[in-house]
Amino acid sequence: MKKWLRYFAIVLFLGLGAAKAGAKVYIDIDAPTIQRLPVAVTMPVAGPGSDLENVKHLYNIITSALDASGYFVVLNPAMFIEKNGGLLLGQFNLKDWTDIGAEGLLKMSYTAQGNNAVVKAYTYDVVQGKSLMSKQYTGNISDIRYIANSIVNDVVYAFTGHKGLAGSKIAFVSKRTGTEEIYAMDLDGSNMVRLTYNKTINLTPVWSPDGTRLMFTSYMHKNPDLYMLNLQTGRITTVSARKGLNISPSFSPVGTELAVSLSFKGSPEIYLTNFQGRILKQLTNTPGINVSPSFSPDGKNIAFVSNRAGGPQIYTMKTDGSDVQRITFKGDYNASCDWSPAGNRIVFSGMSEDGTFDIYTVAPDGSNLVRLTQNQGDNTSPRWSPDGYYIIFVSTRDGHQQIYVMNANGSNQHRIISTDYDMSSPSWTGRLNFKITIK
Amino acid sequence: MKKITFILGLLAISSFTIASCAKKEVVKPEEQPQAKQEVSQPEQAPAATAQAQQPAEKSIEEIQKELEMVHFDFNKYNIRPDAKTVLEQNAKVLNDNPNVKVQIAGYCDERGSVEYNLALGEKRAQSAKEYLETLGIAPGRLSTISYGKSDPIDPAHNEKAWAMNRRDEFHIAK
Repeated sequence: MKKWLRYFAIVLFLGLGAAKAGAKVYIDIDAPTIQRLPVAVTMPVAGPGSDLENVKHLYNIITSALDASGYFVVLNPAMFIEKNGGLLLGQFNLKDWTDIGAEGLLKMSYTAQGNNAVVKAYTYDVVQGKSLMSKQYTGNISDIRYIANSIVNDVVYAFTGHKGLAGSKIAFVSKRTGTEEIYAMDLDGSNMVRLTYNKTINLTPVWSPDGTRLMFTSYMHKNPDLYMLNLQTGRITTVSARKGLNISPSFSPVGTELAVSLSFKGSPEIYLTNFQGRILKQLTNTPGINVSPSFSPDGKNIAFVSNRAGGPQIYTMKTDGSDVQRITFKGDYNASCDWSPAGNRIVFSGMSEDGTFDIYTVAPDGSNLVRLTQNQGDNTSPRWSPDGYYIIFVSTRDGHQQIYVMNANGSNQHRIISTDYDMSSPSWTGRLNFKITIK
Repeated sequence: MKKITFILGLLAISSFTIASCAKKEVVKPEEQPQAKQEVSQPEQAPAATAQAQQPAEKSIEEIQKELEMVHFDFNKYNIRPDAKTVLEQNAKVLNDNPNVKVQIAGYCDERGSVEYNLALGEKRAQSAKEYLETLGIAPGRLSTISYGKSDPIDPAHNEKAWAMNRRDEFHIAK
């Protein structure tokens, strides 16, 4: 029995600083190249009775998440000049920070109150000597990661005007127990939890837009059938168990429809169904292969993979199946398409001339092809982050299949977590800070 | 020993019931309703059926060994000339054992997308099914399933392994 819980934490605004947050954009994350902002993070000042291990843990989660965001250079504390500065403006010397090249500064205090941790966080623009954000976070000490993630997301917001994704979840497939099963973990690789236990083959998890459900294909009843796992109840229901393939679901971002690939008539074709798997419309009808539908964010178009011209290529069509356009022409094998949340790019994995696979993005009309990976093993299964600023994908660059994240322009490519087992088919939900527990 | 006793026990009850029960799970109807019904049955049932109807014939295991796999080119699902020879041999095995039903399982190598490979495996299984049908095997005796790139024979990441893994296997339906 799986259940999810929301963490409990109380967030208070301290003073007026927070009201102005986001007024100025320090890091333009919509720009083609992102200039990382140098930021200093001081070790939280620990109040009496605080466990210093927790304080360090909080600091480590925050600094690694700020670094992983690709928006900041977290300065090395060995460079710090300041010895005993206070937390508030006027209590520390701005020059101590500008002299080491810092533009942003995060100062914190940590106090234990019974089972709770109370963390005050202050974010400054040290160049202009301005407070950007000041908040107090209260939560259970055992959920210190939640407090850390909340602080990171607020700091990202203070400098970019967009909320960060720390504490969001990735679903994926792993063979760590010998059979392919579905798992979920936090964006930083923590809180890993196994979600299927049927010991057959479980593939391609896809989050519902609200993050409460996961759809996936499983052979639990000896055929590749489509199932929905409700994370609130732990219940798995059958969506489509027709003869042949029941695979590659995409949730309509605006409605109650799914696009799926089914082969009960023979060839794998794309259909519109409701969430219970009832067919509303057949969208493709060719003798070959049609898979991997992905809705545009307005729900009006679908990108998909078809071999109607020989090898697999990316196509778009209207949601009623009309106006089919081929949008990839380079290479003989382009597949795994995912339409960006902003609607202006489609990401896919294509086979290069040397036979390896790389990640590309292209405009929905087929123009402006951009290659994001090169000479780094096979790079496959790309998916957008829920905010569209990142792409998650699978790469073999470090020997075996592991999950990586990069910024949408291809910069800041890094492995989420290093494991000795294969990980594949990542899917990312924007639902933040929920805990999946197993009863 | 336990297994044999169990099989004999089932035979004593009714071989007819077992045969019809087995049929239900092996071949899916063309238009199956959305919610799949799970038909629970002892795994030994098909073996028992075969033994009941053809006591002097080969065992299921022996027939299974005679059904050889066929291989495919990368990203292709057409039947190669070498595969035709194998399929003709498999058709002969099926003709010699008219009560045997086969599930054709299509597999791919590890390259490319999970979803596309699932579709490719399905097309590979369907290609073999169609070819066996042209050789006179009744469509009702043949079903298909795709495992995509799951369950490779050789997990290595090289041409030799890939060529081995792009295949159809012929599983006597249980």
